[in-house]
Amino acid sequence: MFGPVIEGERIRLEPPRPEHSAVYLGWLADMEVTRYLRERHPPTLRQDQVSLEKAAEDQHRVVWAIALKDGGKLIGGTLLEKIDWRARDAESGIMIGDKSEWGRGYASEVMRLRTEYAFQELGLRKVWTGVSLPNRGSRRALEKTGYRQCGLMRRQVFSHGQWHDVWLAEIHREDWERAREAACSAP
Amino acid sequence: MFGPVMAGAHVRLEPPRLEHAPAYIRWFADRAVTRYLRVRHPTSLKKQEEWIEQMAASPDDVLWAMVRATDGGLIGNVGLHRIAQRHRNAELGYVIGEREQWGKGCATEAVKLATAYAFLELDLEKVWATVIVPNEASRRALERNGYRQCALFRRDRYVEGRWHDLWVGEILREEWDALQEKTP
Repeated sequence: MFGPVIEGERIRLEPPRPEHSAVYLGWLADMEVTRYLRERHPPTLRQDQVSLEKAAEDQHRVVWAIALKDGGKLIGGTLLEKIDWRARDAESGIMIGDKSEWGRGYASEVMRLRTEYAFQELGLRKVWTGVSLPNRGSRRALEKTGYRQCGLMRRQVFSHGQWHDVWLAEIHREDWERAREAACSAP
Repeated sequence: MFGPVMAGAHVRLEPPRLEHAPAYIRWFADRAVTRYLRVRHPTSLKKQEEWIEQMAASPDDVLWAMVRATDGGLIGNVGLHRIAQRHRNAELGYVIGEREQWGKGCATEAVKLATAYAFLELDLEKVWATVIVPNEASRRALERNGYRQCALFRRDRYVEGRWHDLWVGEILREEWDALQEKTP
């Protein structure tokens, strides 16, 4: 499935479009962008469009493009995948592909919107993810969103000449609701 | 891929056969067998045979049939799945489908054989496995072979009216090597 439009303060999640593929290919060809990603090779334009069509049909995935609200520039993508409708959980993922937009806190905003959608619209109970340990930016953004560590897979991925541990974290709906109520009732 | 023959004291691992499909269907129709498995429904004979074919063709899986060493009777299966060629790890999974074979240490021996294969033949860096927490027998089979907890997902699986945590264990190659030296 493609995700619907969700507007935040500075960014907008929106359904991916075929014309995004060319930009994605550029990002996936950049080893700095993919350093901590599962996918580290660019597909062909045709392959990317086939996988986009597959994503549109997949009932266990919700995929968004990330655009800046101001001007509409495409800066990355995010998704909820492996949605288990019975256990009501999913794995989350994100890529800010446009390196000139790194370090501005956009990922935190995306995660906040995505988490709210997962709990409020999909009715999920929890969302989990794994992050390569040296990817501090992503980990901090997840912690800010309310994800908490639930494990550490040692030497799980190999990149840039070394083994890296993978930090596993999850966010439960009840914890998220409690934090939200506390924030709302704060003076 | 199908795994090659490996003989233990009580169980033997050997390549699965299409004739095993009806036994799989019977196991997956038994809720006591699937209680702590991810898949909890039987499928059609055609689909089950296709799955066995898929496993044979997949470069990311190694599947074995688990049979009794004494008479070759099929009792379950064991496999290395999601083999990450680049990151050199895999997930270990197993099922003892024949309930009268439970509690005899078959899983412990199968885990031992499959784990050794992962390190000695596939040259993996680690093997990991998940267990729904009340499934103590399964966790013990892993722990006896040196697997240690590396994660605990809270309220991860809904089984028989309750949420259960999911235990994740792993063993690194160097830890496995050290164990082999201790128990020659």
